[in-house]
Order: sequence, then structure tokens, then C-alpha cells
Amino acid sequence: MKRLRILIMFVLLFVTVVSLAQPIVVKGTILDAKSHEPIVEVEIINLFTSRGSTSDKAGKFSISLTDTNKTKLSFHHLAYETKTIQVNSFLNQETAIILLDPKTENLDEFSIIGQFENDKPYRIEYLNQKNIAEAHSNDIGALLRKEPNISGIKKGALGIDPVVRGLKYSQLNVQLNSGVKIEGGCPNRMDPAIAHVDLNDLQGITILKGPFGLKYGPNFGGVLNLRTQRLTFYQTYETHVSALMGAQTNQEGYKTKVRVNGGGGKLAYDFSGNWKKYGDYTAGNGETVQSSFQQYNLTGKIGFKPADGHTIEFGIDRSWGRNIDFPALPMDERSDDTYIYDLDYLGTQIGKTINFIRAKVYRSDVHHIMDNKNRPFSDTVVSISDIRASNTGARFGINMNLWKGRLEVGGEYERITKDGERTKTLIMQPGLPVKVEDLWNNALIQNGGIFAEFQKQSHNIEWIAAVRMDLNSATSNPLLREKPNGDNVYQNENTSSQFTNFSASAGLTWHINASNELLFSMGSGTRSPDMVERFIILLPIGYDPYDYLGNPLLKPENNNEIDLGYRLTKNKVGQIYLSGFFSLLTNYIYSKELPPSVVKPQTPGVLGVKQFINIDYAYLTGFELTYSTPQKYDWKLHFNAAYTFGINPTVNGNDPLAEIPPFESNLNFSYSFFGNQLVPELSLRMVAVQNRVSIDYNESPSQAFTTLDFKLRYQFSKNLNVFAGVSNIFNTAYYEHLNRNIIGSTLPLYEVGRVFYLDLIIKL
Amino acid sequence: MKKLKSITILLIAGFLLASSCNKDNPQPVDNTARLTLSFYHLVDSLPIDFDTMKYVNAAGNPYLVSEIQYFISDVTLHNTDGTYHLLDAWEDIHYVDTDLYETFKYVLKDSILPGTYDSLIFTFGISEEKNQSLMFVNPPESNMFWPEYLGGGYHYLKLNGKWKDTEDIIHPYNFHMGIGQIYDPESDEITGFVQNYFKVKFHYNLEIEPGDTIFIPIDVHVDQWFENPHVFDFNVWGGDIMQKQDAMQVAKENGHNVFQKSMIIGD
Amino acid sequence: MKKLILFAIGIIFFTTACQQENQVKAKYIVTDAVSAYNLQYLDSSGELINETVYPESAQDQWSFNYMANEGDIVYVSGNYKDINSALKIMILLDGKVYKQASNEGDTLKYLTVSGTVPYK
Repeated sequence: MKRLRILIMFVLLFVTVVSLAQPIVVKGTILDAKSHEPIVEVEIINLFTSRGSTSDKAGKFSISLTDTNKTKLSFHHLAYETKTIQVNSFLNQETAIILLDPKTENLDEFSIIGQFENDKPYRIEYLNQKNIAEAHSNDIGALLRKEPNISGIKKGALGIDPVVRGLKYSQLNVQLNSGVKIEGGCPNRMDPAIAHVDLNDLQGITILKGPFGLKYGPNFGGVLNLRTQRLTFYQTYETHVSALMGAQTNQEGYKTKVRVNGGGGKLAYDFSGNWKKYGDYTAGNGETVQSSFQQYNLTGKIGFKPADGHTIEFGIDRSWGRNIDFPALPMDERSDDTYIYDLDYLGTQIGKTINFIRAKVYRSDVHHIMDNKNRPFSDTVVSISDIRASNTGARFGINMNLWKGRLEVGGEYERITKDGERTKTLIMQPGLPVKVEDLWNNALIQNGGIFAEFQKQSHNIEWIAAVRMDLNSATSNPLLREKPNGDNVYQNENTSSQFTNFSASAGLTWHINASNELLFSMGSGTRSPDMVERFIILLPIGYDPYDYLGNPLLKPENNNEIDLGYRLTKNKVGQIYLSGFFSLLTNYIYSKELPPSVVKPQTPGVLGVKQFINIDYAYLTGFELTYSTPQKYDWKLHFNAAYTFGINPTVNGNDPLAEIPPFESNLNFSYSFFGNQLVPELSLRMVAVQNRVSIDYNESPSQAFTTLDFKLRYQFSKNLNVFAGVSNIFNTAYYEHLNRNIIGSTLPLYEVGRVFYLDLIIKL
Repeated sequence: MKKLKSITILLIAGFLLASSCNKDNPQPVDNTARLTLSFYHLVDSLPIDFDTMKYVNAAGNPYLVSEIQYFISDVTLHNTDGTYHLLDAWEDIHYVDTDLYETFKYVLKDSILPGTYDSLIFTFGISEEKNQSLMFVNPPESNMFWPEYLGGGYHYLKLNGKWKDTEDIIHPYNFHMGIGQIYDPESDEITGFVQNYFKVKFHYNLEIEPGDTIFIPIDVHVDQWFENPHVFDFNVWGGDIMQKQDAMQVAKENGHNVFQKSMIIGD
Repeated sequence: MKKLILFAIGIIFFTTACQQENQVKAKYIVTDAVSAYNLQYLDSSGELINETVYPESAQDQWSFNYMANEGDIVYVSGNYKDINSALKIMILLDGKVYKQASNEGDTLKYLTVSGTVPYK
């Protein structure tokens, strides 16, 4: 009897197990919800087993499942909204039909292009909205520092100035929404272009490294494209409200953002306001670092579609910066008032030959006021600098199918003006004497350029080549600094210059097989000198304590670069991408000391006067290595390492180029719980010592450091997302190599110690 | 894959090697010389005990010295061939402050050609041409401003301290020199200004060779302000002279004897 | 409804966030002079005012009140010829002494007291 019972049990068990193990094949067809056309290459993933399949040309798929009760299938495609379906719901049907909604946010030029081409043969880093929200930063420059071979020069509370592969300032083409350029006001770059854009307004940041993205303007070191949230044209009228609220400890403060967007059919709108107020912070060594600031902005965007496939958008961004501390500079930013206007047209569906036409007209106006009122020196002399900078421009491009490939032609124009003065009030003296000096004297730079970029795919190689020509002209009122009695300290009437610049690049991506790719690019990008290099009049704006003098006849510099890359993408391995570059910089813009018989320094404490000059050549080389685990796993590991070094062979027997960050690597580990609802993440950052320092600039070496951050993303509901975390868990006392020293001391600006933060994002 | 990795590494290594090759840059040879002046502040030929009421001037006034601040400018070397070499390429006006030790040394960065020089000349104070208001915007030099309504520009000298009158009452004194004013005796309005700077000349026999650094120490005999050739009595002039041109004239004439050479080089 | 509430909260946030120009009560006081002196001072519009003051005694106080903004320069400078006179200058912000000085202990016949109204 007992034996029989056991036998029956076994049989039952066996049957259960077998029935459980019985694979069931689920079949279906995936169609576009709007056009009902089949969608090819949709990735279907079994969320229970993480196994997947893809749809064929007819939109058909089939997938084996073992346990249908618990299984959810998710459907992924770049151009469509991801859908997750419980298998039970369509199990009984012969073939299920799954409809996917096309992504409505398809107006961004980058995603349009994404439909037409694959990645470029040079290094590009992408940061999306998720990366930006999770990074919990107040400043775009601070956020970029975790990307390989990207660092930033920190002088104060905001405006960390990006450095990409050792190149910086005007060597980088920083633009907003694929074309809008912003000229900062401060000679000391308190307010580089990135400082005028609110991080919380960004949908993504794309960094193209190297002199290759020639269609985005004259390009020397790379393109940093900041993309704000795009207008969404809803099918039927909708309004959405969303809000972001965040607070933190250590650098106590909070940020708020409110956004209203919506529209329907042919009209779309998007209005938002941001507000941030933060105080000083404590570094890991217990020191208080002056870092308070207030920043708010209002943005408005309206768009309409005069016809299907055509969009016109108009946007205004008005921002205010108030009382921003800059302990590494002799002054603080008292106020910044910026206006950015942007009128944009994108036309698609124009026929079979033309893929799209885009045109843009913009203007950015910056009014920057800085003073020394919070510094002890203001007891004797109150210094106030008031500068206005504006950048007006236009851009257009046509992308078409030609010669079995794609040709994009276009051009842009940019006009930069800058004017400003510094008022010194000697408040200790009877009569209240006031001295006024020109910082910029009606300076003007204009650049107009045309480009052509051709891409073609043959067999398993994608080719790309681009050429560009720019006409650059600059002028200003005579550079003049006078003594109170009228004698000249310095005078230069020869302030006009004109250049015709040529740039070219070519590259290929060789898809060796399904997993391996080889990338090769070479290019020559030319950059004309900027406002500071041409027109600055005796101010200590450089790394070293010298009064710098502009050279209006400075020649453009060239970056002749070769990039080699190798990429491995495998379903079970993930993606490994190794890239290396070598840049030969010719007519490199450097500086040279001028004897006092020519001009005497004017700022107290400086060692002399240096003027910008061109030197024959310098070079930079380095690599980036990134690795990511496959997207489909719940756990994700991401690793990156990067290193750059530069040499100036014309000085002191191979002097290293100044202000290049050391070797750095980052390791991130995260795990997705409950179908991506709860994602904790640990980030380890390891930065090496930097002993390769410039002797010519008397650069100081910096120490190595390691920091550990913990983040948590919790999707509480469809409407509420919570981001919380602790950054710098071990309260490490550290400073980045590129952090400048606190003015009047040899101590660098230390980074913030441990911070607990909490951000809420509500979407309705 | 492996091959590619090794090629990449080789390439990077190649660049690294190429960059480490040192080139020898020839160092320029300097054929010129340099001059440094040093100032020593004395009362009765001894280093000053500041803020100590132990001194008595030629007029019999007990006094103490708190601080001294002054300008030296237009240092010039006279060559035996008759030429003057004005050392004003770097810092033509030098500030000395007994509260700032580092100012006692005046390092002239000018290049001096080798040769034989027989005298050193400098201006005590600042010449009329160079003494412009607002040229110093930053302390400590900016604190030497001479009010516009009294002539403008900067103080040549601030000698501050205290003195005792005949009844042993202590008063402050501000023995300040700068541009003097002429007052109309009736209206008391200012009708003109007087430049009170003067030149000091020392004779030396200096054989300057290429690469030399010449140190010239100068003694500043503070008591001489009150003594030679005119006896300065605080009881007569009072503690402040900046609006008394007659007193500043006395000071100007006494001033020639304040600066004396300490040591002789080459003679 | 929810959207409206959220929107309203957002607007409230902004209106409270809007910076108001912070003003302080500035007061200049000059005393200790026994005879006439010239005075220069900055008023609320940033104008440098020249005045001759005739005090009756050393205890006599000259004063000037106005509303100053954060960051404004406050400045008082006096001079005279009488060797028996003196000056004491005080600048008060919101009732508290911000800067003061006196030329007692000095023979100088001019005195300047100044500064900038601190940012909060």
C-alpha cells in the first residue's frame, strides 16, 4: 500500500514536473499601432528568463515559454514605446497581434538621424534624461566629469568648465539644441556656455569627441550638444504637469522645477520654471568651502505643425543667477541675466530624396556682473565688472539620399559681440575717486561656414567623409589701458583679422561580423581664436599668475587627429569599446612672457605679462575603454577607464601641457528589482595621482583619490519617481586636478564631503 | 581581436616613447648685472626700538617712533663715461614700510650693463611727473594717497609716533611729507602747490662685471629729520606738517642727511 | 484636478522664491568736531553729496538716514583745518554699528569711513 502511494506520488510529481517543463510556443505579429505596418527587429524578452527573440520582416515572432502563469513579455524597439504584456492575456489566441505606439518624441534631430544611420566611427558619449536625473548634480560641468576623458575646471559654486581629452574653452564646440551658441561674459570664464543652461531642463547631452562633427560648426576638440526637452505633439489634446523637488544635506539647499506641457494635433507647448538655492558645503577634511548660489529660470516653447512632417518651434529661456561664490577667483558673480531665443524648423517627409531639412535662427544675450564686495579687499577698493555678451546666429542643413548614400549640406553663421568695463571705487579716499577701465572694447567676432558630409554603406563598411570651410573675421576698438594721467600702459590699434579656414574629416566603421567592429577616423579641424585670446587687456585670466594680453593677429589653430576604435557587442557579454587617439595640434595657441619694457603688469601680485601666441605644434594622445553588461539582464555593470597626456615639445624639452586630468576609472553596479521599479546602484570612482604637470605654468601635482556613491531609484507609481542616495559615502577629502586654488592660497578647492539627497519627480 | 589589441597598445606605446625623447634646448647666457638696495632704519645710529619713549631730538623733545612708510623712486646709476642709467624698466617706485619687513629690500630686476659706475642717485618721494593720483589702487601703496584738495598724488613719507611737550603731555605726531600747499594769508584758500621731493646722491666706485649682483645697503637715520641742518622743534611746529609748507621745507632740507651709505663696495 | 493642485503648488513655490530687494536702514553719524568741517557722503541714489557742517560743540551730532540696498557703497568722508578739532564717524546698518573710526591719536585732519552693505 505504501509503495503504491509513493508510486502514485512520483507519477503525479513526474506529470506535474513534465507538464511544467513542457515548453509552450507563443506566436504573434507586431504591428505599428498607427499604420498597421509590420515592425521588423522588435526585441521580445521573456522577463522571467531574460531570454529573447526578434521579429522578422513580416513582424512575426515566436518565443518558447515554460511557465506561462508568471511570464511577462516585453517588446522593445528604438522608434516605439516599449510594451509589457502578461502572456496569459493572449495565450488562447491562434496568433496574437501586438500593436506598438510610435514614439511621439521624434522631433529631435539626433533621433531622426538615428533612424538613418548607425554610430559614427569616432567616440561619442551619450547621457540621457535618466542618467541626468540619477546623477544628482547641480551643474552640467560637474555631471560630465564622470564620463571617460572628460573633466572640468572648477573655480566656484557653478560653471565647471568642461575639458575633453585635454582640450577646453573655445576648443570645444558647446551648443544648445544643435546650434544655439552662448557667449559668457566673464573674462575668467565664471560663466562658460554650460553655466547658462539649467541641468534640469535637459533631456540629453551628447559629446562627440575629436574634430569630426564638422556639420555642427567649426570643430576642434569636440562637440558638446545640450538638448533640452523637446516638444511632444500629442494625438489628442492633453495637458501634463510635472514637478521635481530635491533637497540635500551638506551644501544645504533645494531645487524645484515645475513643468506644464501639452497640446494636441498641430500645436504643442512646454513651459517650465526652475529654482535652486544652495549654501556652502563641508569638504571631507572638515573645511567649509564657499559655494552658495541662487539660480532660477523660466522657459517657454511653442510649436506647431503646418503640415505633416514639418515642425516650427519657438522657444525663450530666461535665466537669473544671483550671488554665486567663486573662491578661486578675485571676484564673485553678483548677477547673471541671460536671454536665449531659438526659432527652429524641421521638415521631414519631403519626398524620397530629401530625408530632412532643418533651419534655425537664435540669439543669446548675457549680462554678467561680478564684484569683490564679499572679499576683504573691498574695504579699500570696491571693484565691479559689468559685461554684456551676445551671440546671434543661424544654421541650416539638408540631408538627402544621393549616390547610394546620404549627403548632408548646410552652413551656419555666428556673430559674437562683447563689451564691458570694470569700475574701481576707492572708498578709503576723500572725494570717492572712481576709476573705469575697459575689459572688452566693442569686440566683435563673426564666423560663417558651409559644410558637406557624405555617408555611404557598402557591404559591411560604413564610410563617412566631411569637409568644411569657414570665413572668420574679428575686430574691436583699439586695445587700450591708460594711466590716470593719460599715459599709455598699453595700446594696440591693430585689432582686425580675417581668416579662411578649411576642415576635413573621414572615417569608416567596419562591421567585421555581427559582434566585432573596427572604427577609424581622421580629421583636421580648425578653430579661430576667441574673444579672450584676441582682445583681453591685461587681466590674470590664465592658470598662472600673469596679466594676459590678447593678440588680435593670432592665427587659428589646427587639430590633426587620428582615432582608432574597436567594439565588441555580444548578447551574453555586453559591449566593450576601446578607443585611442593621437592629435597633432599645429599653430597651437599658447602664451609667451613679454618684457616690461613693452608693457608692465597692472594687477598686483602677478609675475609679469604674457601674450597669446601660436607655437608650431604640440600633441595629445590617449585612450578610453568602456564596458557594459547586456541590457537585458537585471543586473548591470558598467566600467570605464581613460587617460590623456599632452606634450609641448617647444618648451623646456617636452613640457607636459597644463591642466590635463590624470588617469581615471569608474565602476558602476546596479540591480533592477521588481521589473525595474527599484534600482539600487553603487558607483566607485578611482582617480590616479597627477604628476605630469607643466613646469612652464608652474602647475601643482595632485593626489589620487577614490570615492564611493550609492543611489537608489524607486518608481513608486506611474506618477511618482523617487531618487535618493548618498554621494561620497566615506566622506573622502579630495580635490580634482583641475580645481583651481583658493585665491591667495596654495590650497585647492576641495570637493564636497558626504551628501544625503532625495529628489522626487511627479508626473501627471 | 588579440592582434588588434596588441597593435593598439603598440601604437600608444610608440607615441609614449616618442614623447619621452628629450631635446636639448640651449640656455641663453646673461651678460648683465643686477642691483639690490637694502634699507636699515636707525635712530642715533642704532636700530630703532619702535613704540618706546626713549629718544630725544636735537630740540630736546622726547619722542618715540611707531612706524615709517615712504617711497623711493627713479634709482639711477651714473657711468664714468658720463651716461646715466635709469633703472625703471620693472619697478620705478618702491614702497618701504617698517611694518613690512620684505620692503626693506629693493630688488631691481633691470639689466645693468657691465662697466664702471661712480654714483648712485635716487629720488626720495616721487617726481612731479610720476606722482599721479590713483596710480596705486591696492594697499599698502594706495593707503599713501595724498588728498586731492591738498595736492593729490601720494605721500612721500609718513613718519608716525608720539612726542612729549614741556609739560610732559604726550601728543601724537604725523611727520608727513608730500605736495605742499600755499595758502592765501587772508582768505586761507590754496593758491598753489609745492613739490617737496628731493634727490639723494651717493658716490661709489663700482666695477660691474657680467652676472654680478650688487648689494648696496643704505642707512636711514630717522633722527636727522629733526636735526640737520635745521633743528625741528615739535613745540614750535606741532605734530602735523602736511598742511605747513614751511615745516615741510625744513624737512626737505634735513632729509638729505637722513640717507647715508652703509658700506662701500669696490672702494 | 490633481494637475491643477500640482500646478498651484508650483506657482506658490515660485512666488515665495522670488527675490525681494533686501533693504536696510542706513544711518551716518558724525560727531566730535568743535568747528566747521567739510563732509562728503553717498546718499540713497549713489550721489556724492558735499556739505559744510557747523557744529556747536563736540557733542553735536550730524546724522543722515536713508534706505540702502544690499551691495550699495556706504561712504562718509570729512576734513577740516582747525588743529583743535577732531572727527568721529559712524555708519550704522539697521541700528547696529557697521563701521566707525575716529582720528583721535592722529594729527590728520581728514577721516573716511566706508564699506558695502553686506549681502545676506
